[in-house]
Amino acid sequence: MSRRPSRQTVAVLAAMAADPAEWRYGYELGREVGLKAGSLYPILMRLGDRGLLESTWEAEPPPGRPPRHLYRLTADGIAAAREAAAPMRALRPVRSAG
Amino acid sequence: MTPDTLLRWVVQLLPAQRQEWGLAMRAELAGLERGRWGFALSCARGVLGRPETLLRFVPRLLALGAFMAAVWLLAEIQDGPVRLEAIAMVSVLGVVAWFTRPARLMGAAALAILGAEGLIFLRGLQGESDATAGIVIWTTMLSIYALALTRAPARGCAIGAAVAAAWLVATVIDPGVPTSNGPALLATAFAAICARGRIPGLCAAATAALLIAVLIDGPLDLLSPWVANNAPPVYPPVSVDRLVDSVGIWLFGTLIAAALALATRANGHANVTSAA
Repeated sequence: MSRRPSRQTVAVLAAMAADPAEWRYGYELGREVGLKAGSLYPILMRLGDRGLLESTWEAEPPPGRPPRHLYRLTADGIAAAREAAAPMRALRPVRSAG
Repeated sequence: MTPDTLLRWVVQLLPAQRQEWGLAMRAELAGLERGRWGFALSCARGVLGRPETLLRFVPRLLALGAFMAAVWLLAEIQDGPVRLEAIAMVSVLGVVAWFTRPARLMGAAALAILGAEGLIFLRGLQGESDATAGIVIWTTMLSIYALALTRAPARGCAIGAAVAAAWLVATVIDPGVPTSNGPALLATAFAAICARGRIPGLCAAATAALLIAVLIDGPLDLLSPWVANNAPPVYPPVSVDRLVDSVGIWLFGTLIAAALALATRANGHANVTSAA
């Protein structure tokens, strides 16, 4: 990514990178990282624009409901998540074992 | 009003390439049993705050505002035939604006400026009893400008705007500048040279001429120490402070805009032909 991502974007990347193979629902993802839909969707759109996120539609939605959107990181997205997490790890205080 | 109705209405404001995201939000909402209003309102905030949504939304609001102002100004015209001609003018300009449908910010800004100029002209019709020639000329000029600038290259428009801003700075430093057509024509020529290339050059010159003419008709007309009347300076009493009549710059700019519209169209046609 060309610009340093925001704290919220880093949180979304980290949550999705925890299990990169898993497709995630937007609502559950938002609850996990503590973001409301109005903040989460613009972040997902930006990640999609930059090729860091792929999306698909739910194949078998529950009867009577429209299919929901599912998201997961691309290979570039996983790399971006690692890159974004690195400064956070460096800032984390180191606890001595003894 | 339900959360579904609100969200369905709001996501329609997203551009075509974002409509899938609107469907995604609506599908998430359909799956919720609690917190539906909170989710819908939060999505609405996210959608309405996006620059691309504002780009679609703000021009529509401006168009609505211009239409309402035009209706109000038309009602203020006393003379029946002049009012009818003015209604025809507003209708023609409305149709032109509708069909030009600017795709970029520069095009939308150009339409907003032309709309403001049209409103200034309408305001001047109050108390007139014969304005046919003026209405025909202004309708033609504004239409040509709209057709030319809504598809013009952004770089040319930006250079033209920068040169017009430089002209305004010169005007503030030396109030004698807007009393002559010379500096305005020099500025348009300078803009054309700076932009380099036929279409960007025409675009820069047309933009500079338009903005300078609008500045003379609007903001400068209201500022002291210039006389608040931009009638031709040859009419008595002649004053060195009197603003130049902007019609000369308008006509000159319209000719350039017509050339720009033709060149852009020819260029687009050539591109389509070569692509085929």
